[in-house]
Order: sequence, then structure tokens, then C-alpha cells
Amino acid sequence: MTSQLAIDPALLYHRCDPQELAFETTAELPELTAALGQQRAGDAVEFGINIARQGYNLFVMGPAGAGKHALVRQTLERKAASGAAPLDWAYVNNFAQPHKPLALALPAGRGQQLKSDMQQLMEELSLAIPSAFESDEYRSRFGQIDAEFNQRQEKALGELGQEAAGHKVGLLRTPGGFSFAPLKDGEVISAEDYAKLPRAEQEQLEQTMSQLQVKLEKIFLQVRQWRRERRDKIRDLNREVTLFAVGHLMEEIQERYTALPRVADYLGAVRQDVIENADDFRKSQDGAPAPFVMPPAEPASLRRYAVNVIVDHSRPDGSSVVFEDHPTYQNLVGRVEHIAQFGTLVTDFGLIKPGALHRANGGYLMLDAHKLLMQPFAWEGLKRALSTRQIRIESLGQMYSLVSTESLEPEPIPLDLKVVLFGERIWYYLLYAYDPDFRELFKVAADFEEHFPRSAQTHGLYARLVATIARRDGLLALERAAVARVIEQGARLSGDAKKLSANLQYLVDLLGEADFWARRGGRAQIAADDVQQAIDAQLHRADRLRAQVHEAILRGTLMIDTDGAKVGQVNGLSVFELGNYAFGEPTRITATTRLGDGQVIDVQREVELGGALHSKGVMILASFLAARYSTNRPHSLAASLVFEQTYGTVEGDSASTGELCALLSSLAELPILQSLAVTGSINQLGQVQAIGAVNEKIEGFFDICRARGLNGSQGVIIPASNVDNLMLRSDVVQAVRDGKFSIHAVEHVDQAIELLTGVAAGAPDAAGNWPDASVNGRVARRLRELAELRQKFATGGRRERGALARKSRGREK
Amino acid sequence: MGAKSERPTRRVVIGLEPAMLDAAALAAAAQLARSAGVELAALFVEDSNLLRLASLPFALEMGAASAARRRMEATDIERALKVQAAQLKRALAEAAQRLELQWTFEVARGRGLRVLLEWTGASDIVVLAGGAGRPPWQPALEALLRGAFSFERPPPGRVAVVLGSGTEALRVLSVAHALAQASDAELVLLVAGAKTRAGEIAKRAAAWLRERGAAARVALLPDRAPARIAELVARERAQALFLPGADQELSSVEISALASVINCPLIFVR
Repeated sequence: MTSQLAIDPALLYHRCDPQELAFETTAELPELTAALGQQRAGDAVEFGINIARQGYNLFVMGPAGAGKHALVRQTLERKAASGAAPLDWAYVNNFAQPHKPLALALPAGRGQQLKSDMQQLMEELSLAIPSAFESDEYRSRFGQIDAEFNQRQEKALGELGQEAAGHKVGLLRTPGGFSFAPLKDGEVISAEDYAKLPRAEQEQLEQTMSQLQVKLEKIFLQVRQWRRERRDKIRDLNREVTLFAVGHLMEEIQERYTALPRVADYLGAVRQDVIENADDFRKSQDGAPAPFVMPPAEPASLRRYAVNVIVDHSRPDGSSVVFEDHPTYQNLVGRVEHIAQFGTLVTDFGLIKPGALHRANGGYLMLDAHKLLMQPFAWEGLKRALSTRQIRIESLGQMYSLVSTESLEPEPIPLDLKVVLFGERIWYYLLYAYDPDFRELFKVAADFEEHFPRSAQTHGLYARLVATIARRDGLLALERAAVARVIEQGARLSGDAKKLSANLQYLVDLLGEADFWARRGGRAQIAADDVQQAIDAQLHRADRLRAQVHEAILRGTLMIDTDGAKVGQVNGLSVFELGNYAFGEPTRITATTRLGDGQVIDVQREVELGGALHSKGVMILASFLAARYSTNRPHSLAASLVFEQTYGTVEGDSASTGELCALLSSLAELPILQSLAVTGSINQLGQVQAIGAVNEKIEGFFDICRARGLNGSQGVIIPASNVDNLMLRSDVVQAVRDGKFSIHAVEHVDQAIELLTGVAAGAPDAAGNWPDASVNGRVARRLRELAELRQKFATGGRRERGALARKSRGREK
Repeated sequence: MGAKSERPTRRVVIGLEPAMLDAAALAAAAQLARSAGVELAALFVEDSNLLRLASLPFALEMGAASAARRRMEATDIERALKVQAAQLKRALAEAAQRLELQWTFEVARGRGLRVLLEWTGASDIVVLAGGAGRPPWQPALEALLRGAFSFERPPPGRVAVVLGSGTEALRVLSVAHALAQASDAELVLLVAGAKTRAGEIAKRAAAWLRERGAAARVALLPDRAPARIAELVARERAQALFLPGADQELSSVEISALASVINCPLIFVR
């Protein structure tokens, strides 16, 4: 079918001419380092990273596959590499308050050094201290103290024993202490012999023993004092010996950290604690482990001198750009772990584990907003850390007072980092609207584009992007024609012949699959055919449902006519989106009209299978009808519109032009050519407006027509404003060139109805009357008839009511 | 020093009674038993004096830890001694198992040293605690025993041997030499008798030791008075003193007297 509105085949597909690409293969091209088409987002990221003010964290939004992570990571790593290395952090024992471990900051790499120094120190102390205590000097002095103590006791007891012996009384050791007993020939007197003693002698003995017991009691009290003195002397001796043993070792390590006051303070505390607890080092080498207990890596008593390095930047991969893929509360802010010992959970500072905030401190933390918001308390934990600018490790149980057992309260660590959240735009706007903290903490939004303008310059850059990906992923180089085909597919994906898709993930996949086909074909480079095969294979893998719908139409299960003409029936075009795959298919739209009060019934909406946009479209066309044809009389139309054989929700207003045409056909009683399909939304003035997925819709109707046989009368009517979006398949373009299929661009519904009915739409004369034979004239006449009919019914009704009233009044008389 | 003196040791005996026990004695006994590969025989002596005391109507005990006075009943004393014996037996079993020692434990009643000497015989080595440096308030016997056996105590620096001309002299020397070797200690021979006679004994002992690749320092012991021996032991800072068998060279009274004035274990070889 030819018409003045038929689109020039040259406009159906905006080629990329390989000749405009100045290279033979992508191997010749330099890499592309900048993000293509993301200038605005890139500027925002640069700004957000460089501004050193609180709250200027980033929210990076945009479509999936736009290369957000790659761009941001690249930028962050560049920035991190040029900045100062972040600090190492370690938790150590707080000797004054063991439940509040101390956080030590050290220059990058020195955390492990401190840990290693402390380990070595402990090893040396474990040897030096026992050696000092095994020295002759120590033993001798210890022996002197012991001997002095023993001699004092012995002397006191000996004197008492001698005094007792003078009274023929012996001092005896008993299982629990001491006792006095009368002696006879060096042995304790028997009860019988004692009984034979004169009463006076017995009394004398008992009195003597009683006095001796009082003296023994005094000696006991003195012994306590002597024992205390002995203990003090031994403690002083131990301190003196320990100090001598550890002094030079401690001084060596302290000298290494004089520039770090907090570390120096800690080492001072270590020195004091070692001196106070030298016994721990002496015991650490003795004794067998208890059965059934896993032996610790180091003696429990010496664990308190360990250094728990939680952030270590000594390794080459100790980057300060961290992506936390599983942002639970604990994975963000860290946790205090416990170990089971004899059925009890115990912990210490050595079991403090860092979170992503610790690892990224001084650098950058990247998080996925959706994952973050799905994790209980994680969002709150992150906000709290950013607001207070410190990382406080608290278990959820502690935070919400769910458990009251004593646990660790590690010293909070100052926080200085940028957080980059990635997410869809909806998350940004929802958070912005409903979370006041969000506005304060994420002041920079980097919005990634879905597509960017297509030009000779961007073609060149796109080619370099292709080259970069091919090189990075170890793919074969692409021939120039293959790159051109990739560019064309990029335009098709963007849904706009004058744009290129920014979906890098799709591009990476396409190139990878083209590489597969090229290698399978034994080629050394990727050719245009390999790219096409990759595209075809993608479609083939995804088009199961399309094939089923297609088959249903061809078998007549889904009724679509592609020839003949019908009143009130038009081929609309729908698009189905399944994941990343979309296809178009024709849908029959029918309209019926009758006398009514101006209501157009949208059956889809009535049964709640119509979306809001679809309903809006129907209301607009109803308004158009009333405004155009019934300005001076009641709009006495009742109409019904149906998307036939649809069993799901219909959304969008792209069918409103077709629906209007079906209504006009019904009112004008003019049949619509079924060889045509129409798409486009309508406004109240009858103008046809752009719709989405125009390529898929055209191809969907084309496929049905081709299957039934192209005869030159078939075609599709699209909005003129969609012409720039055309990137049709080559077979469609070829059919149009051959005159077997046509595509018409319309700006107004009058143009569409003329094409569909073959009857002139007609223009009103100066008095506002439409030509009788025109479509509009027929519609206006029919609506006038309906209005008159309605008026007639209304008049007849009044007459009847009047007659009934008169009759009634006569009977009353 | 005849061939008879080389007869093997039957057992090492230690008395488990407060008055004749300390950690050094226990450790020396264990070391001797292990190096000789013989059993460690423990004799728990229930002091008959205590039982007799308990039968007296006014008997009172003053607690060592509490200084509280308690009435002493014979049944209480007997029960306390039985409990003490059971605890010591258990502790000895554990310690001996750890050191892979053969051991026996028996209970006797009487006066400490006297019972011990009666209970031992030829070929036994008897270990007594030196009393001079021993504190009157010792830790509980069970703890003392566990402590003495639970870890290797520092080896004795010097082992002193009172060497006479009796038939048991070589046996004493042999046992002392074994302990000195096992604990890497220096051997000091305290040779008794007149100068000429003492010289001969020392020469023979040195030859005997030389044959075994060992040597000893010699000190003359003018007489065998306990005070004289104690003086030499103190001067040499010996950490064990070996004596010939009590029935051969010293009476039990002398042994008692000697034990009370030296501050290291007294080991006599029967």
C-alpha cells in the first residue's frame, strides 16, 4: 500500500557505515579510559569524592548494566592511589578496664609490626623471666627470705617447746595443728598413768599446758604477720628481678614507638602489667594441658599482651576501596565473637572482628542500597556511624538491651570515609522523601544515563569501548564492520536510532557471544556475521513465548485479520516485556456504539485489567469525540472498547489511536482495513503522540503478515514522532523496499483513519460542518442522530408523564 | 668395699608422716626410684603419741590455720589419720603413674623413724627429710606430695656421701653416684676415719668412680658426730646426704639427731 505518509525505507534503519570507522580491526584502537556518555554522572562522582565535607557521601543511581560500579571503582581507586595510605587499626587489652579494649591507630603497615614485636617480646620474656627466677642470685635471696621466716617460726616454736619440756610437757604436731601433752620417758603419758598422778600434779600440768597454749596462740598471730612480711619481701624481690629481666627488652620496643603516644602509653602499661604478673611467665612453661580442652595458641594468661590487628594495610592488596557485597549490620560495623569454654561463651579483645567500615576507614566503601536496606538494622547502623563519625562495635543484643550479660565495649574508632551507595532511582527518591537523615548524609547524587547521543564522534568512542572490552576480556579483535553492527545494535537497544545504549553489561555479553561464534567458525577476528549470529541466537533463546503467541495467531486461536475490512475493528499493537527481551504482537481492538449519555466504557478498566495509563488514554479519546463532534448538542453516545482475547493487564496508552479509529469506524459505519495495524497515543486534539518499542511492534505485525504472505497492502501506522526511533530488522526494511510492506507515519488521527478506511477524513467548513461523505461527516451525522433520538426519547417521556398527571388530576375531581 | 656392696637396690622407702617429710625428700626419693628402676615404697606412720594424747581427758588441738582450740578425741584423730592416708595414697598413685614408677603404700602405727627403720631392711634406700630448714607449718601433706612429684625440681648441685670402711660403703657410693649422674650433680665424698685410712678409702672410691668415667671431690670427716656431719654438709651446700645403713654405721638415735640438724634430705642405704 502506498501513500504520501509512507516512510522512506532509508529512514527505517539508521546504519552505521563501516567506512566512517577509521580502522581495520579494534586491535588498532587505544583503550577508552573515560566513561562513555556518562559525563554528568562522572562529574558528580568526581565532585562527591573530592569534596571533603561531612555528609557528602554519594548515591549512584541509574539502570542496571550502565557500568556504575566499574566507573566508580575506577575513579575511587585512582583517587585512593594518589592519597595517603590509610591507618592500620589494632585492638589491645586495656589493663585498667579489660572489658573496654583500646583501639590503637598506627601508620599503614605498622599494625602487623606491632603485633610481631609484641609476639617476639612475649617469647623473649617467657625465656628471660623464668631464667631470672632460676638464677642463683634469686634462689639465694628467696632462700634467705624463706629461711628468715622459717627461723623466726622455728625459734618461737623451739623456745616454746623447750619451755614446755622444762615442765615435762611435749609440743606435738597433730593432723590439724599442734597440741601439748605431758611426757613420760620421752613419750606421751598414757591415760592410765596420768590417772595415777596425784591430783595436785594433774592440776599443775593442766595449768601449765593452758599457759603454753596461750603462748602458742600468740606465736600463731605473730606467724601471720611474719607471713605477710615474707610475702611482701618476695613480691618486692620478684618485681626487682622482673624489672631487671624485662627492662631492656621493653625499652627496645618502646623506643620504636616513641612517635606514637598512644602506643607508647600502651607499652608502658604492658611493662607495668608484666612486672605485676611475672608469675604468669613462670607458669606458662609448666604444666600439662587439661584433658578435653583444645590447647590455646598461646597461654591464656599471655593472651592479654597480644595485638589484634583488625585493619592491615601492609599487604599490596590492602586497598582502601572496599565493596561489601553482604552488608549485614555485623559485616558493616564489626562484631565481638565468642568461643565456648566448658559450656560458657567467653570473649576478649582478640575476638573483635572488623566490619567493612573498619576496612574502608580512610578510604571508600561501596554498598548496594537494595541489599543494605534489606538487612535488619544495617541502614540504621551505617547512618549512626556516619553521623557520629565513629565506629562503635555493639551487638544488637546490647543495643536493644536484649541481653544483660557483660560483654566487651571496644573503644570506638574515629571514622573518616566516603560511602558510595548504588541503587535504582526509586530508592534514591524514596529515601530522599521519607528519611531526613538520608538528605543529610548523601548529598551527592550521580545519575547514570540509559543512553547517549549517536554521532560520528560517539561512534568512534564506542568503537574504542568495544576495543577496550575485547582486550580486557581476552576476546578476538572485531573487524570494522562488526563494530558497525555492534553500534547499530546499541542504537536498537536504546530504542532510538539517534542514541546509543549505555548498557555496558549487554555490550560485554554481546561481544563475548560474538567471540564464541567467531572462534567456533574458526575465524581470527570477529566479523559482522558473528555479531549478527550472537544477536539472533540471543533472540532465539528468549523467544519461546513469542513463538507460542505467533503460532496461536496463525492457527486462528488468537483472532487477528490481516486482510479484508471490518467495521469497528482494528489491529492494535502490543509489546510484551519479559526480562531483558521484548517482542510485539498485534491485538484485535473492537468498538461498539449506541445511544447513551456520552460514556465510553473501557471494558479492560471495568474488569480491573486496565492500567491507569490505559484508562487515561480511553478518557482522552472520549473527550476528543465529545469536543469535536458534540459541541452544541448532548453527546448521546454509549460506546464500548475491548482488547479482544487479552487475559492479563493492559497498560499504556499506545493503543488509544487505534481505539479511537475503531470508534470512528463504528460511528461512521466504515470498515477498517485489517491489513493495517496502528499504534500511537492520542491527545484531546486528535494529535498522534510517540509510543515506546516501536520497532518491536512493527516487527511483530510484520512477522504475522509475512507468515500469511506479504501482498503489498499490509503495513503499520505509527506516530510521525517515532520515525527517529526506527531501527528495524533488515528483513522488514527489505520488504518495504520491495513494496511488500509499508510503514506510515501520521501526526493526526484524521490521517490514520483515512489510511485505515480509504475514505477522506474531511475538514469542517466555515460553519463547522463536515463534508457528508467524509469519515468525520458520517461520524458527526451519526452522533447528531443519536442526540436527536435521545431528545425524542426525552420529549416522549415528558409527554407521557404529563398525560399521566392530567389523568390523575381528573380522577381526583 | 667388697663385691657384696654392688648388690641391687630392692626399693626406695619414704616415710609419709609430717615429722619426716618435705618436698626435697619426696623429690629425691622419686628420682632415686626412677634412676634405679625400683619401686617407691611409701609408709604412712600413724603417730602413736597422737593416739595416746587423744585419750587424755584434757587433750586440745590448736588449729595451725585458725588458731582455734578444739577438743581432741581418739576417734577424731583416727579418722583424720585415715583420711590423710587415703589422700596421700591417691596422690602418690597419680604422681607415680605420671612418672611411670612402681609404688606401694602401707600404713603402720608407732613412732616415726623407729617404725620406718624397723620396716626397712637390707637393700633398701631410706629417705628422710632434713629438719633444720623445714618450716613448722608445712603445706598439707597431699599437696606437698603432689607438688614434689609434679614437676622436675632443679637438680641438686651437690650430693654428699659419708663414706666409711664398712661393707656397705661401695653400695652407698654406687647409689649416690647414680643420683649424682641422673641429676648432673657434683659428688662430694665425706671420708671418715684416721687420715691414712681415710686416704685409702678415698683412693679406692676415686678408682671405682674413674672406672665409670666419674670423679668426686673429697673432704675429710674427723668423726661421725651428727654436728660434725651437719657442719660439713652445710659448708658444701649439699642438697642430699647419703649415709651407710643405719644398722651398720649409725644408730637410729644418731640418725634422728642428724636429721634434725641438716637442711637437706638424708638418705641412708641399707
